Amino acid sequence: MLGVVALPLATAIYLSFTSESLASTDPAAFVGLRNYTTAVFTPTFVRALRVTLTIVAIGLVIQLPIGFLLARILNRELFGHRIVRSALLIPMLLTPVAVGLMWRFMFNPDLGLARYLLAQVHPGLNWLGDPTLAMAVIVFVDSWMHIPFVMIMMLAGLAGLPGEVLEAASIDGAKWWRMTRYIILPLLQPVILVTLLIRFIDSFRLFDIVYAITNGGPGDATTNVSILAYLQTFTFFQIAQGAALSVAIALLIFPVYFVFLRVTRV
Amino acid sequence: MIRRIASTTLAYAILAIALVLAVFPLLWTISTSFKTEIQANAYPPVLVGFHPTLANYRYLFASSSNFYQAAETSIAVTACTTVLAVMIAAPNAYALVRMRVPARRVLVLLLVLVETMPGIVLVTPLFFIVAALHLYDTWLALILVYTSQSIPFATWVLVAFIRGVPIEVEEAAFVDGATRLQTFAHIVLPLVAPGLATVAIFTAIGSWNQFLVPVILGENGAETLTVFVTQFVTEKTIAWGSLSAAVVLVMAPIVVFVIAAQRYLVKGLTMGSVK
Repeated sequence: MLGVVALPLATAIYLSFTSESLASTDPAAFVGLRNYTTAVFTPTFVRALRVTLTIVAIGLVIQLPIGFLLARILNRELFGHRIVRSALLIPMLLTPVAVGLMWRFMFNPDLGLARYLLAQVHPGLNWLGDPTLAMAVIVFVDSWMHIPFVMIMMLAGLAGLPGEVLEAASIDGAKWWRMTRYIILPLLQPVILVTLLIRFIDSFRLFDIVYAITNGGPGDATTNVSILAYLQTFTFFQIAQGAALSVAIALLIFPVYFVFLRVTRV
Repeated sequence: MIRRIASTTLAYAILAIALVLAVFPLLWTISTSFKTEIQANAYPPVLVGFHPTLANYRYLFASSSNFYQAAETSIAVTACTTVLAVMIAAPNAYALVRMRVPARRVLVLLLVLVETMPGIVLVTPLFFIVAALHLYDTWLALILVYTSQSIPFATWVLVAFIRGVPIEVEEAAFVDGATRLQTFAHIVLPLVAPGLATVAIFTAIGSWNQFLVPVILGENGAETLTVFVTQFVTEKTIAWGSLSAAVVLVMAPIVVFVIAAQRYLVKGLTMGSVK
């Protein structure tokens, strides 16, 4: 365990204070906080952070309600609910990078199906060429994969609710919305919290999908912090600056560990 | 009565839409993988009703492509990781549940850290560590990194399963003179067999799906299928037919797995977080 967390972190912190770079042959020297001023406290990083948080926020707003709604419906155990549940299990476990490529194909303006469908509504829309639309595609694909996850979590939560309470409420003739709002949501709160947290962490570190669909583009419209650190290190070979970015990302997400520890309790 | 029918109809409609949205992209990709490059570019596009060709698959299976090599790497690394992760996580989880482990809190914190840390934060420095150990571009590097990344979740799930084993069963074994190790191996492990299966399935899927780690730590010697598929996308052109065929082959094992093992999957996903 130490080997995979502590050592890499220590290495990252060390590198972030040096001038290590594969782009030059000069020996690495100690440069203090310079990498932090040239890589972290910059408009580029702030933009990447904004992209990251936008993906997280919009993703959560879309995924949680839809996942919950689907769980409520499946929980009614209508005819065929098992088949639907199995089918919906598939997207979340598929290889993310392959999913990304698949959707890249679907949204491709030259040959994709999305073009055909959209041509009926708004011809000439270039999904992956427009900054806002490219973001929308990323959030959409992330949601496509992970709404099922939310659904499964909620479904497990619903299954654990005391049946008598729900029965009593429905005999009282409580309306769907009132029952949801005043009985189910409060009872599901712990499950919702855990789901929210897991989704937060996963979309915060989203990499594979973005890499496969836009690689951060157009421009830097979909460059989130993971992609930025990757590009900085392995495309521009600014190792030390990439390390500084990594350290910054680790620090940023630090508060989440403690929330995670509190909510889950191993 | 009418309201009831209306609400049921609405429920079915929503489920139908969800089902189509979940499955259609996959069908489309499969369909494309049987099209020639020209058919793939046809406008308007068709899902069926074209003359299918195996050219894309033949191209992948041709000796000139690295497909076999990549498949071999993916399979070997996934298999080794799964075995290792289960072997390490099981005693790990047992110790966390039943024994007074020194520095237990630190251990738990480390587990959570690995689980929540964005991959890029750890992989960048790992690149240097792996290079320094002369393990760059080897299966071993991938196996070690995958295993350590799988252990937290595996331990987590197994902790939940082991908690479910009544302590009386173990105490009975102790009374009969069994050692801690014997109790663990002969009493506890068989009882948590479904848990071990769950963990193995999740580790296998997770390792198969890895992309960030192999793209950074591997090149030719340790190129996985996930890295292989991205190579059809170049600056200038994208070979959509071959790409779709490769995507289908990467995803196929997962789909089969999910359908075959869904009971374990649902349990594993919700275990430990939903009580």
